[in-house]
Formats: sequence, structure tokens, C-alpha cells
Amino acid sequence: MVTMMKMLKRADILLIIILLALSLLPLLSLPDSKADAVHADITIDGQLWRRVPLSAHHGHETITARTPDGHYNTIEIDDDTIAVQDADCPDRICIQQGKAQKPGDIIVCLPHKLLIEVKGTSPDGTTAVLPAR
Amino acid sequence: MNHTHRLVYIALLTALSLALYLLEGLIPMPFLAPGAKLGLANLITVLALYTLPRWQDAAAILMLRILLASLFGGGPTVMLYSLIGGLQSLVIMVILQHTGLFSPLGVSSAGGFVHNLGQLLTATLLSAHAGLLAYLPILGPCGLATGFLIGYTVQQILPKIQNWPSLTMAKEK
Repeated sequence: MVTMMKMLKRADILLIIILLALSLLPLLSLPDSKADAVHADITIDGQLWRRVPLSAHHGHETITARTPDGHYNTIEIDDDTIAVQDADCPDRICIQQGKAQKPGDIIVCLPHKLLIEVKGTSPDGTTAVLPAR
Repeated sequence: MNHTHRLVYIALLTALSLALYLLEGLIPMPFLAPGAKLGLANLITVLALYTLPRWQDAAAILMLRILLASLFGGGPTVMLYSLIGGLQSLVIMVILQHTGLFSPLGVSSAGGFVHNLGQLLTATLLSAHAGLLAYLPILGPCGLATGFLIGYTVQQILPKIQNWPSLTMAKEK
């Protein structure tokens, strides 16, 4: 049996390396395509107040949502998670709900009619669109 | 290789590749990405490229196999994707083979790669969903690996069938 290295020509190796590099190319542009993949919609009393991109978010950010009747919820965005940090609602359940991160996660503050919904497609949950064979 | 020899050989290879295609369907495979598969039937395509005098014969085998395979199972969508991937990969392999620079290993590896790349690009065009290209880092190396293995197998097969009467005739001509 001929050894594999003998059968491989130099051009073969070059070709394979080039094609390998080519297939890794989409990784460079991947962060861009993921940018708006996951976001959080913050609605107050049924009205969209703010849309926060999550998957492209890095670092720490705090925003304060104010209800029409003067109450507040302090929302904390830490990298790709969102949570209510502080609020003057009586039950403070929104704070206890902790961090939301994955699409489908929801944080509700009933007294303030505030709703934080995480939407989008998760990187691992990207659905296969067409069968490729 | 006279006309009858050629016809019989093409029929034989078509039957073999169809059998390999169906056999592959029976092998359980880990799910890596949509479209990632062994592509055992491509073994015959590569073999045909290296044993038949004209590349058109390899193209005939490929298209016959895809047509028959989609009758056995699959359907129009699968057939479309198989045709696109298969033909693109065949064209690239023919070109690379005729440069004379590459061994069956390189030719087949590139063929496997182009097969996956072509299908991915087609799926991207059809669905207008550029995110599908995110699968290329998985599907590309997969195609290279399966193509490499197929090239290796072909290289092992070639010396063993060189003495087949009809094939020697092809060489003498």
C-alpha cells in the first residue's frame, strides 16, 4: 500500500489549505449577521418603548423606563442579558425574575404594565430552511 | 474500449453508485449541519472520471444516478440540490483533473468542497437568507474530508482494476 504522504502532491496540499481557509471565511462576517439576531423589546402599557439589541451588546448599561404616571423601572443590560435592577412597584416581582437572555424569555412588571420580551433566533436555534443533499 | 464495453461499464457504475447511495441512507450519521453526509455515491463519479476516456460519461453516470435516486426516494427538491451540487463538483473536478497538477486526492477533496459550497450558495439564493453561509465553516471542511477519503479510496481501487480487459483496451486506444 502506498503511503498517503507519497500520494499527496504539493499542489493537493496547497489546494486543500486554500479551500479550508475559504470555508472559514464566513466566520469573519459572522458577528455582523448575529448583530440583530437577539434583541429585547421593552413595552410599556402595550406600546413599544425601546428595542435593545442583545447578542451584539458588550459591557454594562443602565436605562430607566418611566411609566406615564411617574413610576420607574431601572433596567440593567449586562452583555447579552437584560434584567430589572430597581423599581418602585409594590411587589418588586420584576426584580426577582432575574436575568433574561434567550429568545422567549420574558420579564413582566404588572403594576407598571411593563414587559420585556427577548426575541429573535438564538445562534444555535437557527432553523434549517431547506434540505440540502 | 468499444461501444458495448463502454455501455456496460457505464451501466455497471450507475448501478453501483445507486446501490452506494441507498446503502448510505441506511448508515446512521451524527447530525453536524443540514446537508452534511458521506457522499459515498460520489466515489463512483470520481472513479468514472479516472477510468472512462471521456468526462461526459462520468456526467451521464452522475445524472442517471441522481434521476434514479430521486425516484427511489427524495423528490424534486432533493433532486434539484443533488443535481446542482453534483454538476458543480463534477465541473471543478474535470477542470482540476485536466490541469494535471493534482492527484485524485486533491481533485476529490475539491469536488467534495464545491459540492457543499454550491448547495449552500443555492440555498442562500433560494431562501434569500445569508445566515445560511454560517454553515460553511462546518460544511466546507466536511466536504473536504469526505472528498479526501473518497479520493483515497479511488487511489486504492485504480491499480486493482487496471487489468480489467475493457479498461486496458481504453488505454491502448
